[in-house]
Amino acid sequence: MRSLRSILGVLAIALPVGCAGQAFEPTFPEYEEPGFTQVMTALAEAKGRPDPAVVIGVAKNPDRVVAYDIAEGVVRWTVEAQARSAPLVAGAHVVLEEEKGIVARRLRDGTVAFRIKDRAARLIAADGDGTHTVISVAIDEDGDRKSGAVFVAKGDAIAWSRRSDLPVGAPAVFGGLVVVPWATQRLSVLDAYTGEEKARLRLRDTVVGRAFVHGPSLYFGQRGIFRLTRSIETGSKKSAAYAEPVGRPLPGQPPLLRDGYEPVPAPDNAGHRLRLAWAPAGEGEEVRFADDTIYLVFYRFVFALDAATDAVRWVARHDADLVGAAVREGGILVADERGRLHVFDAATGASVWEAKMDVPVVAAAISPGSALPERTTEAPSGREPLEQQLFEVARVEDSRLGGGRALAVRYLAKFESAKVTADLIALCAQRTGLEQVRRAACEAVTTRKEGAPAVREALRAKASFLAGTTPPPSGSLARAAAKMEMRDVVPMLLTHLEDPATPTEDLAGIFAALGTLGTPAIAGRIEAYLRLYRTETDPLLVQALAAAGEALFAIRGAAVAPTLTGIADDPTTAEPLRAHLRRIALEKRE
Amino acid sequence: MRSSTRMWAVIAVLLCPSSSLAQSTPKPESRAAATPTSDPKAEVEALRAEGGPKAAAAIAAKVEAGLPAPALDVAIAALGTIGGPVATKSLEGLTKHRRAAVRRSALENLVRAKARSAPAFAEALLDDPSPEVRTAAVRAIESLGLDAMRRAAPQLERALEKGLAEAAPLLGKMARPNEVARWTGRLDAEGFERMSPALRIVLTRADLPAPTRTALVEKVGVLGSASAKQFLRDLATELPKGSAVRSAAQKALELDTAEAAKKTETAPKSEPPRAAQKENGR
Repeated sequence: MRSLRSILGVLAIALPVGCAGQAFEPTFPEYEEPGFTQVMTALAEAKGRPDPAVVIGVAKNPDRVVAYDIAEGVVRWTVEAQARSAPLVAGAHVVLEEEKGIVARRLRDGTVAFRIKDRAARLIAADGDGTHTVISVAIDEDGDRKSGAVFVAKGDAIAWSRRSDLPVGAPAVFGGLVVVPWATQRLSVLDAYTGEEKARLRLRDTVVGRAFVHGPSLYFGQRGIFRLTRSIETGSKKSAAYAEPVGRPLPGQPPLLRDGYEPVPAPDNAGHRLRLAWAPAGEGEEVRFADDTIYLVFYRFVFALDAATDAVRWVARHDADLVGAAVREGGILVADERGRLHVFDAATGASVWEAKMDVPVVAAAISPGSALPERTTEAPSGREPLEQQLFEVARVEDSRLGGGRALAVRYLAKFESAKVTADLIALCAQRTGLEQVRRAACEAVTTRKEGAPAVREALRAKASFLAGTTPPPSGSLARAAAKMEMRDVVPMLLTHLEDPATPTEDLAGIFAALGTLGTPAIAGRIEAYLRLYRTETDPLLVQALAAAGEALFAIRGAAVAPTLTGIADDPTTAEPLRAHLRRIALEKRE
Repeated sequence: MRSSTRMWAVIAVLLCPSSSLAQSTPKPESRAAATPTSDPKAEVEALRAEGGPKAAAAIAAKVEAGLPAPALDVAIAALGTIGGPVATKSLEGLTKHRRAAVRRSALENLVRAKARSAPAFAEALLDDPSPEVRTAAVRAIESLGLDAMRRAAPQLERALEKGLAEAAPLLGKMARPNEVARWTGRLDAEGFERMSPALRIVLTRADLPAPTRTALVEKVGVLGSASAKQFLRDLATELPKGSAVRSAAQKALELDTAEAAKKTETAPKSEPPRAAQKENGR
């Protein structure tokens, strides 16, 4: 049944168009001459193509697609259309999935140029150079997308198509050639006029899902980016013109490039608001990222991240979600959900150009042209310091932004000043705030080395129902105090220890600090605490009491072993605590 | 082996010099304490039955040494029953226990033991993190009598402001004329919602001067909120006929009705709808 459907699918795609040359044959030789050299020569001689400077937005209520001319500052056209995918700018066309399938609209006026009527085809990607437009699709058979196809239009009509039994990725058209990634590691270079496969490349040690043109070069990749040069012959990223940014934990883990084998997401997909944006740069065998920066767009924030190290250059916070972004040397052009456009300066993050489409959009495809629009305002020299930018982002109250705020906390913690310690304590103390952010801040507080007065001041706070105050984060503060060897705070720590308002999660930190800072004079109070609660089974309290055992050992040494063994041997002591205390006694004896 | 380690544990507790609880507890010398069994709850019950200061000391020592929850509950009740300085000291310590139920029970038993410190602890526990304990603190203060209530009045007022509704009736019962006058002076619609149970009690208290109470009723009348009006209607029907407060409530309601009528009369008459105008024109 499925094979019959597959055959019908092939016919549906292949019949309307010519089928001269072959492509995607499994036996086609890789890097074979003279095809490979001919292709490399043709690509090297290809001139940079004139990319349009437009923003294509998807608007709702009523459903429509809007084209905004960046250079002229006007809405060029608006057409009624129910977009099922985000739009793609592909040379002379705008391609998107609509109610009746994949549609290519003319960029100049929004009218329909051609359609791919096969209902099983899902839009993967599209590209164009003004003469040819290439569209790749996945063939959806009962939810299974194992095969794909590419369609190439010359002008406003499909000239040819090729089907692959394996998935095809995001193609690019350049210098009269169509470059198609497929089957995760292969690249087929087809003649844009005939569809004949001219050369085939294969990467042995990485995945390739997307090909694209930037300036005078053709790039491809997935986890990193290759510039197509002769060094690709080796088939390895190790010896080819290749770059990938340093790995680091980012909220939502957005990929460097959207998965080249997955259909274009729906306009309201969160992926349009949470993504990495960048542009390639460099020449010849040197591949880098424009301004050595990778931009993380996270709803209302833009983080300018150093491509080579785990560092942030600046962070911009906006008053609306960002639904489209594109990068060129000098900065990032973004579109927000209210239909406003901004360019953020690569060096400072300041907004240096603004425009209004005056149409709220849920997704936007931005083609900035070869360069960003000319700046209308110069970047101010005195933008607030980076630590202040990060602190302001960390405390924005929006529950969707937890990941971005926690990232800001992580970078904020890299600053060692006492002021930053105070800021981190303030974030850690917000018990009514977002847990993800609070935890990141509290974790950072525990490792601080500067800012003892801020730690002391925070430890003076007390929870009070009548005063409307919440308990300070005494566990994290205690660990920081231990790090800073603040012996004078021991009485405050004991007060928090014995205050029932102190959250159980803070107790382990307090005991750990008492173990470091305490003297034999306080050992009795720790022991009394351990005895009083030794029968309790709350896992967090058990953990805290184990820390109390450790603290006793730190203060009194091996002499405390019989005490702990005695508590551990009492059958009324909570079973998990007994195990902890036995382990501690054993380890310390050894 | 086990008995020797247990002996170590007992010695450690007794010798522990810096534990405030250990310091306060004399060595247990009762018969039940000297013969521990594998059932701490039964041991505590035996000590409770024994009674007296020695049993209290033995129970307090067991509390300090750590008891499983059911045995601790029995121990707290036993300390409350036996009473005395040792029991009181132990119960005071337990008002800071991590479990709210233990703190609540410790306070209740401090009151039961007629501990001199009970009012101070009850007052302090109005600030407890747990609503369960705060409510128990209000009840404890109430059961301790007017002096305790008067002493805790400022804290009770703050607790009521923070939403501890149980504090309102106590405030109503103990308020002096000057306090009622103070409330009247600063009463607003929001405060009325919180204070109304206290005000209701105040207004039925014959020991307060009538002018103080009628002034309060007049202020409620001025508030004009729906709940204030309902409050006045209740007073006007529930209080005995001829009482000054009832009359003041009726008067306030009449005044409100008259004001409303005056407003209706003076309001500019609205123009008839355009459609109606057209129809009239025809």
